[in-house]
Amino acid sequence: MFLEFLIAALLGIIAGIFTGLIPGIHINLVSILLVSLSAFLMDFVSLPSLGVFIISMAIAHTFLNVLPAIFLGAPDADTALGVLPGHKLLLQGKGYEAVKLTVVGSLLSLILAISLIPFLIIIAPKVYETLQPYIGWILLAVVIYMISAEKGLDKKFWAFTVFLMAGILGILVLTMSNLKQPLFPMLSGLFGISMLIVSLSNKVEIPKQHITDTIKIPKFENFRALIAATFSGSFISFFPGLGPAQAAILGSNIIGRLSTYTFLILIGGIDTVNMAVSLVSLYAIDKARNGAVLAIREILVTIDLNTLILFLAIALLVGGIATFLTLFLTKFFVKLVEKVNYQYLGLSVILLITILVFYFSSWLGLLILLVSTAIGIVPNIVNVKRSHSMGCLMLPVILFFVL
Amino acid sequence: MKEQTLLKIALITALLGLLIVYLISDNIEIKEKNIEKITIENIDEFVKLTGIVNNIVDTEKVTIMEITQPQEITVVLFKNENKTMPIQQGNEVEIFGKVDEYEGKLEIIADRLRVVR
Repeated sequence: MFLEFLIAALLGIIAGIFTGLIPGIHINLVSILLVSLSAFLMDFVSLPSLGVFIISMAIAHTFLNVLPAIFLGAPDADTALGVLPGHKLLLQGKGYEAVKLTVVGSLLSLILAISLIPFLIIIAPKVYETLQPYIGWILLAVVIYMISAEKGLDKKFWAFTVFLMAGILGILVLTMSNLKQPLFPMLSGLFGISMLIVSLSNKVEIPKQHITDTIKIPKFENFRALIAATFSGSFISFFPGLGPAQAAILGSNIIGRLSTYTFLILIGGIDTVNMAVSLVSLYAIDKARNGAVLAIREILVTIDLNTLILFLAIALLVGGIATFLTLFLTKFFVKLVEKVNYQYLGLSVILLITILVFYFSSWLGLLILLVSTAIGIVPNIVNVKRSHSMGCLMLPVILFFVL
Repeated sequence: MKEQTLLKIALITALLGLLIVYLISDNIEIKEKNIEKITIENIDEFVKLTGIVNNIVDTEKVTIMEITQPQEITVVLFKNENKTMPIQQGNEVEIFGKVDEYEGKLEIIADRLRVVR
């Protein structure tokens, strides 16, 4: 079994590299495919090995998905808020540092979260029962705080308008039953293409990138970001409809102002913690909170304590390997952005995203991409935070819980 | 944080994960259950069974089988599509499913079924 698990983990990591690096290819796609093939695959491998494959892919994905977000401006739902701070560092020649910060967040938060899991198993059912009726109101309070934190009435108005426009778009997109991959065109427009268009129109040049050995962050700041990532990443793992984007907004608002560096640690940490702790929610409250864990439940039906320990150990193993892999692949991306003219690179990425959106979501996807890009440019023009565009996911979730 | 420090932490984490996987991997397989040991206390538990198909009724929506080990239990498999199950009397089958009770009798609601031979 040990060897079978190792092979499954390695194959999962390879799959995670592909899903992490190729925009639009989400782990849910591979997970669904695996579920449909599981009856056939169980002739050759044990069912827990399929779970090991999914966990390995999902954890590797959370380390690697920042690369297209930071270097290409093509994020997924989990990394959308990391695009701007990541791109900001890229334009200062610190693209490698930006990725390394998310890796620090992912690895250290994973270790911290896993060490807290015995405690989480005990408190999860109680926290879930107590907070579930109020989750919509908690998110609403976070949004009100976010908007009111903008300085001046004018900016508050625009922050609210951006949130509302993105929110209405989110409700429309997420309720379209005939649309495949609804998040890809919406998030690519709001956070990816809109940012690329602003950069291209400003004639931005990518400076020479530095491979920095040491990143200096005050220990307390680092610790604060890790605690916020572990707390909010774990929190969203127990409730339906919440994802890393909501957790980032929740975490950064609860813990107070974070610098660009610590925000990237937070973004990296939340995504990985969410994936690991969602296994605990499957074990402790029998709820699957993301596509990968849902696939595991479809395959294994239920997990016992030994299987949970196996999956968490796999998460540690893959987390360690993914740290090396991500830093190695980032060096390749650094060379790529240095060699290629940014104007051409930006236009190529816009073209690539447009083709992928058309492939996945057809003409309707292109329309959504166009509208979301237009909304995504507004925060830049009116000079408010781009995180208000996360209304596209926050508003539907708030309405789901409150109404 | 120095890159060397980060990589050292990553290496230790990976090795720790590897060690735990090694130690736990022998305790993972879903344990096969003897029919005689399935009791009312196992209701809602997920079990794995291997046995010989003694009797089979294949309808549009459900396949009902009697499995012997030599003790007997009823296995119910709900079908998503109206397909004839490729199972015959005398086949040895491996079943993953939940223990349930129907009209005072214990049965298995199969989640997955595999013909061994």
